[in-house]
Amino acid sequence: MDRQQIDLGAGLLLLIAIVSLAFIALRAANFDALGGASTYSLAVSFENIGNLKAQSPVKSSGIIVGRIAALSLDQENFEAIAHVDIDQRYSFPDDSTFAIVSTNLLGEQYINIVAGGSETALADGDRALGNSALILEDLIGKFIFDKAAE
Amino acid sequence: MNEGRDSSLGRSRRRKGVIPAIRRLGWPLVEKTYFLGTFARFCWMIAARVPGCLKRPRLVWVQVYHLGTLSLPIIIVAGLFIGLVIGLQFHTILDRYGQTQVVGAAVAIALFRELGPVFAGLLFIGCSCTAVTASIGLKRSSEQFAAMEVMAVDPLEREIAPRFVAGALCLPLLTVILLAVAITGTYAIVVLQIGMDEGFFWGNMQRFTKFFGDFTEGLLKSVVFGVMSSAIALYHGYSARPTAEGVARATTNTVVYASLTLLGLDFVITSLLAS
Repeated sequence: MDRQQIDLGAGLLLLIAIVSLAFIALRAANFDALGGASTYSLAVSFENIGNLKAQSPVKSSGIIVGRIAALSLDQENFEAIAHVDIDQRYSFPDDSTFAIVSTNLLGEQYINIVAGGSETALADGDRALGNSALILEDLIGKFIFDKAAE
Repeated sequence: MNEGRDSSLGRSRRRKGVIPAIRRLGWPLVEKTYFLGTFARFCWMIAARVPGCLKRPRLVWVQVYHLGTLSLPIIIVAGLFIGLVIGLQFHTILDRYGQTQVVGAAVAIALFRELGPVFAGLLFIGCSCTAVTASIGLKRSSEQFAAMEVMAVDPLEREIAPRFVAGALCLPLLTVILLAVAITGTYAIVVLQIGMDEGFFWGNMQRFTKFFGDFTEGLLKSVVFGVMSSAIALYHGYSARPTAEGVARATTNTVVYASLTLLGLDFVITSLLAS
């Protein structure tokens, strides 16, 4: 067997294995590392984010317009902050409503944007106020409490 | 030796009783114990020659090409179909409960922990280990090893140990490739074809799958499977009868013993890691 062919073949195996390992490692560790679309960031504050998670989609009228980059807690007023990356192609008025909704009763949660009527659009780094998530346990608790009161 | 034969009647007859039953049980037991003993001695002989073979990396490199690179097409095609079918099945089942967003995570955990190493191992046994057994068996039956010994060349160091090292090295590499292709296959069917959200697919996969846990557990399994299947393939080739039927029988035995040992070891490793 030709020495050059063996070197090329064995090198190909190693190369594909290294690329595969990098693919698995990056996908298992950091989703954004393989992203690339240009976005602008917004910070949306919520009283309670429920089960909202990083990398969940941000939708408007059912269309995905961005993703949640990170979640944090504001130490001043103890509100949850969702840092969202919105695709540069989409702009929203600064009085738009951000609400946490679910795909179904037990499904994953995402942020839904209902566009407002203002002339001014939200820009990179702006802060918006969001409607908190619907917490199933709170609803059940409220229902039981109301029934008991009756 | 005619204990089971009634010579006066001229026909075979099995004697009843406890002692003959124990005797009948005895020979297969002795045979299996002998097999286990010779296999352990053979593994020890290979292990002792691995350092010497590593001084000639060229020999290992050639075997990496034969055992690894030539198995790439079957691993890639099989990985793609495994990913496609598992993705489709998980999506169909989880759709009943409205939980399709966890398809990526479910598929990744199943693949990383169990299916990836086991499928890659079984394909490796069928594709590469059989070739190893046949080539070693043929070299032995044509007395090439005897000729090497005459020339004061150790056939175990020149022919057996490089194949062992290459087999142990190639299976983990092939497993990683199969995993990456299978996940791409699942992505293709679930996201591109069915239309599931990409963020939920990758996001949940990252959230529920641990690189240092799920993935490394599968990789550890593939290393053990690689060592085990290579040793079994080499042993059957080296101990094959020097006939065409003998080599054919050895190749069949390699597939049977290596596949069953792989599945058994998979359970043992999973139990050990779970505890």
